[in-house]
Amino acid sequence: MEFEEQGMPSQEKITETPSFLQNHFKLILVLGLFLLVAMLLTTVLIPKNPSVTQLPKPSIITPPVVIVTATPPLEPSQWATDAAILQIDEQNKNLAEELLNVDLTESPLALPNIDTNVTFEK
Amino acid sequence: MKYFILRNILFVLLALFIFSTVAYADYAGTYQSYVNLYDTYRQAERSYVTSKNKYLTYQTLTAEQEALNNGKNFLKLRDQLVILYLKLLYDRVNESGGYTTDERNLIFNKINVETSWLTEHRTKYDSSSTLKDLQRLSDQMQDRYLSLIRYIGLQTAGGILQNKLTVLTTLLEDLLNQTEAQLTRVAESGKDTTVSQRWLLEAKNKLSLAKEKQEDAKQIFGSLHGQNLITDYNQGAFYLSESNQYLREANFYLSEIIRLTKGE
Repeated sequence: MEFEEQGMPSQEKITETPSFLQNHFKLILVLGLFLLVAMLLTTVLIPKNPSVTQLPKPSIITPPVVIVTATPPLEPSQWATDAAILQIDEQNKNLAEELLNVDLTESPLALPNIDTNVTFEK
Repeated sequence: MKYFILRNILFVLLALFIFSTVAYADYAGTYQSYVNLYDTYRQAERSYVTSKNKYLTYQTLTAEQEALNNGKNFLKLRDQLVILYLKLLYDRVNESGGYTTDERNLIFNKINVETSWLTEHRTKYDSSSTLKDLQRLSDQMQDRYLSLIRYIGLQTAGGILQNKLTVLTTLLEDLLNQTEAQLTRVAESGKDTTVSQRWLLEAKNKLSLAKEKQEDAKQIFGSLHGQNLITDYNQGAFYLSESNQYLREANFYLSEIIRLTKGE
């Protein structure tokens, strides 16, 4: 009472400010934790920018290999080990090789490049 | 006695070795000689041109004699080169397949006639004592070469190309017949061969086209004449390359039939 009279603030007036900050501190703490969790979730769950991290490495461009077959592969049949079929198969492969390598120019047999206009006159 | 038998065996083995080596080296050896002679011919030609120009410029007796000597040497080598070319053709035909005995003998006969003519003609140069005589002898050879020898050369070369494909065509035809027989066997076992039969038909069609192209080439090679000799020859060779392409396609179809039959 004496303090009040001397113009000093009372005990109640002094304790008003800390109780207000305490309330705000909790709110700030909750907000801070929320932001922290949100940042962590953003970092972990959202994928990194593909335009930056997944740039293709420079490499030699190769054309796609296209394998063309007339008919799709089948299950092996009893004829896969047949002697006559195997013989035809072998002859077929040999013939393919011969047809590929046959020389149809015979350049050594070209006509000799001789002078057929020999003259001793002007 | 033992020594006698051993000696005979060794003799037979040696003879066989020599015979096989010679047979193998015939064409290759002739070609090497031909290439070497061609170089010598080119050198002689340069000497002939130089001495001829010298004679035509100065008109001296010395220059004329030099032109005569170099001319003789050059013309003899020209005859010799054509003789060796004919031998090259002979050896190539000799080792090539696809000829009947009559066909082979006919070609050999033509080549031998020309070779004999050139061999005899070549000896005449030495007896010529003037440039005019030399010129006349040269003209004889040129006429013979342009009107006969080069046709024989190109016809023979074309025939060799054609026979190569004839041999391969016969092989493919035989293979297609074998495949047809096997497909019948496969069909009898209960397997569906419809697709294979279709491939076989396509292969036969390609084979027919290949044969037609070979016939076209044969006609061209058989009637080479006139100014378009080389162009016609090249056209014949082109038909043969087309024929080869058809044969390759037919053979590919055959490989498809085998693949289907084997179930790969």
